[in-house]
Parts: sequence; C-alpha cells; structure tokens
Amino acid sequence: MSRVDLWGVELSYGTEQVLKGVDLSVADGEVVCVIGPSGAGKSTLLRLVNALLLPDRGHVLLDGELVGRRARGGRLHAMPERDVRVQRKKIGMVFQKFELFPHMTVMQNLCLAPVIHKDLTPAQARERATALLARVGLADKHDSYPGRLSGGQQQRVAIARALMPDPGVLLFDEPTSALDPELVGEVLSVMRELASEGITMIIVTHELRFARDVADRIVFMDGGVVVEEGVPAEVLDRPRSERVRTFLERV
Amino acid sequence: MTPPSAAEGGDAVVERPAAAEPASRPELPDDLARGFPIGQAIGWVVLVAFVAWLLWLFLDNPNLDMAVVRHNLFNANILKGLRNTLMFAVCAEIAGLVIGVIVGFGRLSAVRVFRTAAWLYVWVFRSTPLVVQILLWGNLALLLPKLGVGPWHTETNQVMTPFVAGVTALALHEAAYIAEIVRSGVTSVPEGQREAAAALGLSWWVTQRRLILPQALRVMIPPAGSAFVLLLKSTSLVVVISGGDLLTEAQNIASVNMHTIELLLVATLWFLLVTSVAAVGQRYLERRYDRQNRREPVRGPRWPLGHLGRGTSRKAGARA
Ligand SMILES: Nc1ncnc2c1ncn2[C@@H]1O[C@H](COP(=O)(O)OP(=O)(O)OP(=O)(O)O)[C@@H](O)[C@H]1O
Ligand SMILES: [Mg+2]
Repeated sequence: MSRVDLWGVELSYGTEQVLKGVDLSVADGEVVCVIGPSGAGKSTLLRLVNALLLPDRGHVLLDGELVGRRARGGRLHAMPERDVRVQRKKIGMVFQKFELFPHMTVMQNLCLAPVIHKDLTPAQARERATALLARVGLADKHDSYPGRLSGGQQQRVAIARALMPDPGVLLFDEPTSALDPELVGEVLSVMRELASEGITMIIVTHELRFARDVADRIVFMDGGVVVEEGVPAEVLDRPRSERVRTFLERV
Repeated sequence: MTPPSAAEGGDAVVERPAAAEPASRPELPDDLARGFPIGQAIGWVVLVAFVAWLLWLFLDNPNLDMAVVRHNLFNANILKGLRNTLMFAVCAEIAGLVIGVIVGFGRLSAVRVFRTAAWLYVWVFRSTPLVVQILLWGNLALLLPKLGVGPWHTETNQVMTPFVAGVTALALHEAAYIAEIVRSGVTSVPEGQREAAAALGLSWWVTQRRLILPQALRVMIPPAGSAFVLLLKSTSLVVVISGGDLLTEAQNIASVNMHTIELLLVATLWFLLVTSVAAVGQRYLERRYDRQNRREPVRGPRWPLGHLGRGTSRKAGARA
C-alpha cells in the first residue's frame, strides 16, 4: 500500500489557474473522498497524482518519491517517460466514462498492460484476470466486448483492469456519475469491499451517503483549494465553512 | 366562484373510469395486407428500361463493332496494360500509405515544426491537379538533366522511366489524401482512451498501435477504400506520359485499327471489374475491423467474401 502527498500544488491551463496551492496527504490504506462543486479542480488533482499532468509549482509524492519529476542539481527535471510508466503501475485509475478499449474483449482489456510490460506471462495474466473478474462479480464475461455490457458491468471491469498490476493506490474520478441510478449500487459495493481491504483510495464522488460510509476522511475542494477536510461526520454534519454548508444544502 | 374541488380532493383516491368493454368482440382479420408497392414497381420499370436503352445504344449501334471489343478484351497488350495499371495502383497505394501515415501523424504532432511541414505537404499535393503532377515528374529531366551528388549521378531519364514517374506522382498525391484520412481517424478516437492507456503505463507506440489505430481504422477504411478506387481510376492519367497502362495500350491499339470507342469500352470493362474487386476488399476490411460490434470473438473463416455465405450473421452481430 502507498501514501500520497501533495505539497503546495499549483496548476494552470493556459492563463486559468485551476489549482491554487493544494496540500493533501493520504496515508497508507486511507480512503479519502474528494467532494466539491463542478470546476473545483477535483479531476485535475487526480491527474496530478499519476503524472498525467505535472504541477507548475509544488510537489506530488508517492511513497515519499516525486511523481513524474526528479530533483537534480537544485532543480526539478521531467522524468524520462520510461520511469514515469513504472511509477504509473503503482497507481490504478478508474474513469467516469470507464474508458475500456472497445475493440478488445474484457480479458484482453485486463491482460494488455501487464503482458506488454512483461510483468506477467500471458498465462499468469489470464489467471489473475480470472480471479479479479470473479471478485467484481463478472466471472462469466471474459469474452464479451465492452459494448455488450451494462454501464455498471463496464465500470466493474474497469476496476478489475486498474487492479491488475496490484497498485498501491486507486484513483476514482466520479466512477458512478455516468451510470443509471439502479446500477450505481453494484459499483459502490465493489469499491466498498476494496476499501475494507486496506488499499489506499482517493475517490472523487458526488455520492455523499457512500462517502460517509467508506471514507476515513472527506476533503472539500472549491476554487482550486482545499476548503475543509475532516472525518465524514465533521465535514458533512458540522461543516465549519459557509461554502461547504451551501454546497451540502444544494445536493 | 369556488376553486375546483381542491378542498375535497385531499388524499381521496381519484377514481378512474374503467376501460370500456366493447359489447361484443368484433370479427377482426388476422392476416396482414400486402400492399402492392406501385411506386416502386414503376421505378423498377423505368430503371430497367433506361439501362436497356443505354445498352441498346451500344450494342445495336452500327458504329460500334462488338466483335472488335470481344477480340481485344484479352489482347496480349491489353493484358500487359492491365497488369501495369495494377502495378501503378498497388505500388502507389503502398508508398502512399507509408508516406500518408507519417504525414498524418505529423499533422497531429505536438511539435510545431512537424505540424507545419505536414500541413505544407498536404497543401501542395492536394492543391495541384494530379495530371499536372504526373507531367512534372515525367518531364523532370527538363529541370534536372542529371540526378545524384558528386561522382554518383546518372541521367535523369534512366531513373525516371514513365513507370517510376507515374508511381511517384500517384503515390505523393495519394499520400496527401491518406494523411487527411489518418488525421480524421485518429482524432475520432476519444481523448479518454489515450488517458486510460497512459494511466496503465503504456507507451506512446503501444498506445497508437494497439489502441488508437485499430479504433481509427474503422473510421478510416471507408474513405481509404474510396481513395484507392479513385487511385485505380487515376492511373489512367499516366496516359499523358505514355505510362504503358491499360488506357495507353488501348489507345495504341486504337490508333492503329481506328476503333476508338471499342477500345475505350475494353478499358471500361476492365476498370469496372478491377474497381468492383477493390470494393469487395473494402467491405471485407470493414467487417474485420468492426469487431467490437460483434457479440463474440470471431472464430472461423476470415477469407474475403466470407460474408456471402453467412447472410444473416451481420444482422445478428449488429448492436441492438
Ligand atoms: N484540458 C483542459 N484545458 C483547459 N481547461 C481545463 C482543462 N481541464 C479542465 N479545465 C478547467 O479547469 C477547471 C477545473 O477542472 P476539473 O476538471 O479539475 O474540475 P472538477 O472539479 O473535476 O469538475 P467536475 O465536477 O465538473 O468534473 C475547470 O474550470 C475546467 O474548465
Ligand atoms: Mg471532474
């Protein structure tokens, strides 16, 4: 399991500053839910953790090691792509729109990366994939193409795919926002199970009930900063800041 | 002036009128009427009559000697021309694909100088008539009598044979179109796919080859197929540099026996056959890269024309 630290992270898209100094630490095995209004910078924050984006200022660390950069001669240098790819294997990511590869079967989706990286032989990959698919309740869907699965099933495949390299951290970007209401439950219950197994998780979500149940800590973001953080009961029931209160009233 | 029954409404159950039962069930027929599509029938009659009339214009024309057509259809020179036409098209398509893919990715590059170079290429080769490009390559010797550097050089005309000039012109022109097709295909794949690939630690190369291109191909095959058919037909333009293609050979024969129309008809028939084969090939490729729309992975024959023997499989596999 891994820990994640963001120290004074700032990021702009062109001239628009989206993150304005974010400090956030996630301990080994901790489950953190990030909530906040649209445009707060939640997705951007997740992209920084696995170096899909690099911060303009500040530092992102995984297990105490800089992500996507390396310090040398008193300066930060971009890490070679190869090394970034090695880091990314320790971080699983689950997307709002699943992003399964539509021209590959479920099994091929899961096995592609570990086999290409030569972390597993094809036979080992298939074995691990079979076990993970059983865990997310899709043991019978190996040979289906993603287009044939329901949204909830696709998202569970995506979770299994993210788990293939046995990552220390899982990042979720609104994993249930694209789902029909009756399919949300099956995805949340898989996530709930993962949370109870002690894997570190950072979850951007609008499901406040779920957040209250599984989160060790809730982080409220708005306008590119962390406005408030604390245990669910604190942030959700007795928010200190006005902004959190108005947000909670609206949802 | 009392408001309509809001007061007495409360939580009283609203009574709906029961569906009215017809007194007795009327006698209704079970069979569905099959209307005679009179409009379509007229359309067919007109179409068949029109085509028949066109054929008759040819076949029953004293100025057209079908015997000459038949006699020349398998003439050795015609067959040689046909072979050359196919060589022109295949060589130009292969070179055009290679250059076009490179230029197409160049247009999408993050590096500005690559983007500009690729744009310039497409602009030049798409903006000038193909026949002019063929003439330019065919007459390169007028501009550069010798090719090469230092001690290594030869007469341009020894390298730039009509065949080489024709293939070069066709390939460079084709590449500009392929580049645009590649560009539109690659941009049609959602950005999220690239992000997901990156998050799995896949390299740029693996991402393009295993994830982006297979998805882009589905979009690219129909326009690429059309481009190839167009290329097949455009090979006839090398007649302007006496390229030795089907049309050149047909005209050579015609210039001797004066049966111009008959020999143009011979060329036409061969072009119809060749482009039809290309269209069948395109359909086969389309099906092959349409994998995600099938229920199960494909097992069984993958040869061209496979779909002819499995008439319904396409429908069964289509997305519900
Ligand atoms: N690639 C991009 N280029 C330019 N601006 C962007 C880009 N991605 C995001 N933004 C902007 O950055 C801001 C934060 O975006 P982000 O996606 O991180 O918000 P979010 O908190 O995830 O919102 P949501 O709940 O709607 O997903 C938004 O104002 C958005 O318009
Ligand atoms: Mg977002």
